[in-house]
Amino acid sequence: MKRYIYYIATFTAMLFATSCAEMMNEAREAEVVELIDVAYKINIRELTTSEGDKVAAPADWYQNLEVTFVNFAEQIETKAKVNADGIAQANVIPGIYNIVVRSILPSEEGINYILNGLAQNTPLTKNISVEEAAESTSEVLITPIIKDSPLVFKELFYAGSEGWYFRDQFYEVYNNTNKVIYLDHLCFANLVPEFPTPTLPEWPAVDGVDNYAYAVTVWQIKGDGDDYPLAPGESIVFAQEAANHIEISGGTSIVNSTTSVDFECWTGNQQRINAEIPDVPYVFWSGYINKMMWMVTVDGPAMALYQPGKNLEFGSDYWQEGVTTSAQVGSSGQQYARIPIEDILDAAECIPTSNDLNMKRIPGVLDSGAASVDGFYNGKSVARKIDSYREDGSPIFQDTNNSTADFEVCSDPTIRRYNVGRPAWGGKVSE
Amino acid sequence: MKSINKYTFFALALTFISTAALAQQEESSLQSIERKKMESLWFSNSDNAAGAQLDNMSYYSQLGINYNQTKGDFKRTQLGDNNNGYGFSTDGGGVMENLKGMFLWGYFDYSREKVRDASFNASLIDPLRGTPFYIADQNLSNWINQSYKLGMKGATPILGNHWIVGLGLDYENAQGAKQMDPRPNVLMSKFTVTPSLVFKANKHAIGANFQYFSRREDGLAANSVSINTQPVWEVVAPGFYDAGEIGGGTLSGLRDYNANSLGGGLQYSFAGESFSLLLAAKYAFAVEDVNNNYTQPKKIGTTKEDIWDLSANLKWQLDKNNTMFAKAQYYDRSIDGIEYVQVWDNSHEVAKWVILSKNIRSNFSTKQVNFNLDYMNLDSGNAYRWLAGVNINYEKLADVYYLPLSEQQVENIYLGANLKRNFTFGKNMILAGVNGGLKNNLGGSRSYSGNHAESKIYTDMVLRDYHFLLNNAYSVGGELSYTRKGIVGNNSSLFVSATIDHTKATSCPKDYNFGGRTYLIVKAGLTF
Repeated sequence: MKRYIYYIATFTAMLFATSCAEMMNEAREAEVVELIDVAYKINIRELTTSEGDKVAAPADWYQNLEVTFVNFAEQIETKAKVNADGIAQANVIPGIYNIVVRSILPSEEGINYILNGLAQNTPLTKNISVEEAAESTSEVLITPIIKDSPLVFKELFYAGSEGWYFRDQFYEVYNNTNKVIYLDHLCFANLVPEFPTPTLPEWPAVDGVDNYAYAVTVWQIKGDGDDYPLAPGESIVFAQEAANHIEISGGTSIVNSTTSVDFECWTGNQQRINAEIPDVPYVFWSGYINKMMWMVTVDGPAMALYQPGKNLEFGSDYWQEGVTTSAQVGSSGQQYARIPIEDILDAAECIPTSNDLNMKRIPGVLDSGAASVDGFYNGKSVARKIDSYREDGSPIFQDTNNSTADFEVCSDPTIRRYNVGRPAWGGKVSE
Repeated sequence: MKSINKYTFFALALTFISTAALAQQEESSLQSIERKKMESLWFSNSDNAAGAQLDNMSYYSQLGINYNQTKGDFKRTQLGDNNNGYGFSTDGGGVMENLKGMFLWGYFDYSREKVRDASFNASLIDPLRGTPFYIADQNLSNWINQSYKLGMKGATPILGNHWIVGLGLDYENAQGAKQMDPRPNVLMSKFTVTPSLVFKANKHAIGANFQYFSRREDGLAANSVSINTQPVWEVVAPGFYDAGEIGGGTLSGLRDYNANSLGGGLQYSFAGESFSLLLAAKYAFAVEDVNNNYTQPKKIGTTKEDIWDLSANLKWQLDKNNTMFAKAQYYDRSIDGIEYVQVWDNSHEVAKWVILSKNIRSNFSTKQVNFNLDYMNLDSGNAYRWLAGVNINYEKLADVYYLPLSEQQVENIYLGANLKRNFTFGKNMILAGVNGGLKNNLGGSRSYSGNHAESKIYTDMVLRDYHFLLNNAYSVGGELSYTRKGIVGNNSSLFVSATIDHTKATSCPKDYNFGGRTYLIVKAGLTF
């Protein structure tokens, strides 16, 4: 017995000594930090001309791109120079970077394109030469998008109010153009991951990089194509629950009432139905369907708008894996809606705090930044900034596909802030 | 807390019994114990327990209770404004004739302290212990800290006329509970082992000791009032941090510190008729990892600490009643702050953080040169009559954050003097002491290239602490104690003492108008 105790004690001591020595040796190996010279490839996809032909991006676009290496953990931004071959170079501190491209450049046809792109959570720990970058498969892939998205998210109130009150969430969509837009078939999607996390999912390789956004829930305004006109300067509002929240919350809700919204995202709870406000149906819901309510995370959702051109049905053949749905690699096969990014009219990324950029879910081409109310249940919303005004006085909102810059934090969540218009049909139950 | 109390009484009983049972009778008082410790060069100036045998320190023991209070704003920001606490201490030992001349000494300290209005700390029981990696919050908060320490030194008699083998063991356990969200309940334990050896040849002796310690400290800053999130800074160096929210997002409020230290010392001593010298050199290398999760740890940082401590200690007995003591010391502490680049790897069955690179991002250096000179005059008993001393301390603090480059340097010199007079009236003794000192700043500079120059933690802590270190100041203090001999036995005594010190800033900048700080300690106890 004594021998075994001796062996165990000796083994434990050796294990301990080894662990201690390893810890000390690892610390001794560390060297004083130095700046590193890094290069990273930027790749602009071909443009589609008005005739439908594919052409290469203008040669001077690369050199005019604004590329920034963002070390979000240390809040250090380093501007990079880009050569004619699309290689961005910068001198940075070793770290994890978001390589962000944000530019608006004109084509030879005089059309302004938004050239946004993002290589997210990219570790840069040693020198990378221009040649190494050129040969690398890592790149920021940019899909040029014509500036001026017709519909934009105008205000998102997701954080809830004091007292853990979340039933007052609402989301406002605005016509930012000078023409009437029909909202029929408009889909309003809550993107994956549903809850912000730095551990982003891996999607099938066949989907490529930054070609799709993925949604957990999709709601749709169904119509015949001309049922829901939205004039320039008008907005519609989706609510989790159209109700008098002051009464329900016992006075803690920052939003007095959401009865002036246009649609309720109702999931089937008879106790939470407002008969005066139309229900917008969900047409896709991944996993367990919460029949009590539809609630987005108060930590900050990612949302997208798109119009598939027809009315969709929940559970129909429209939803097919590899076509309109995808499953995460290594998952049990749970399907999520797969939305081509070229179909997306607007997307907005919201994160728990301004420093959580490593949790971005939306491809940088759609939104190269993120908005945040820096907390939850704090009664704050994010609202889009005004860029200019139309002749009739209605605002035109800033839309650079960069939510960091496009949104501001408001401590008074307001439906139809700035007295924007409401469609004549708004808020009424269709006959 | 309950477990601490249990250990407290157990250790207390053990220490007291182990020392008192072996007592050699000799008249004892606070003053005689202070004298013994000053005269014991090895015991007081090295970690070499074997060397304590050469001091030939006769037996003593003491135990007492104490109350302390600290108040005032002339302090580092993270310390409390108004603190008070109480404690119990006992120590004792010496050469045990009835153990064939073995040297045996032990101690036990218990303290409980309430720290009020401390700020910018939600991770550490002692925020100034040297790690730059911690969570700082925005709330002024109280802390309740409790700790006990116990340890021993033992040494064989001289073996074969030359050799002495010694061993030192120390254990410390502490708990710190922050009283305002985000509130961690921090637990700390530290175990130190110090084996030692001395070779003696006539009046000369050389010694060597090895020292290892292991320290763990961890606490989870979480919210009791979960309805509100708490904004915090994940600090990696003064002025450098990642801001986040406890209770929101994915920030972990846990800080799990795991430190190991290896070191050792070399000593040489000469013991003449009236002249004794001890030269001591000590080196320690400590590494502390800081993680934020027990099961899927992400390394927040690592500190790599090198400490050099060189001293020359002199005891010169002028005649039977008069002795001079001198000590010259050089101390050099350098702490590297290592930060990591990590990615979350979920490609394996067990997802984990993978370290891609690590670099030293910061360094915190402390250099000190100290010189102390004391004169002791004895009366007919064991206690001293007069004790007078002067001390000069030079300190240079240099901090650097390499990228983006930010630096801070402060140089100060301290001049101090103290005088004690012990009056004996039969079985009664009254000790009166005064001390005073001046702190004079020799220079300082600071540059900052970070992005948080406007943040509260930068202006209210980093800059404030810099100006605190720069400030000139004076200090005055006094001590008064009463001792009654022969209370329990002929050689024991009962004592009551009070010490008060006050430090006052004298060169405050406009934005950092420091006042002063007062320290009061009241003790009562028995000596044997």
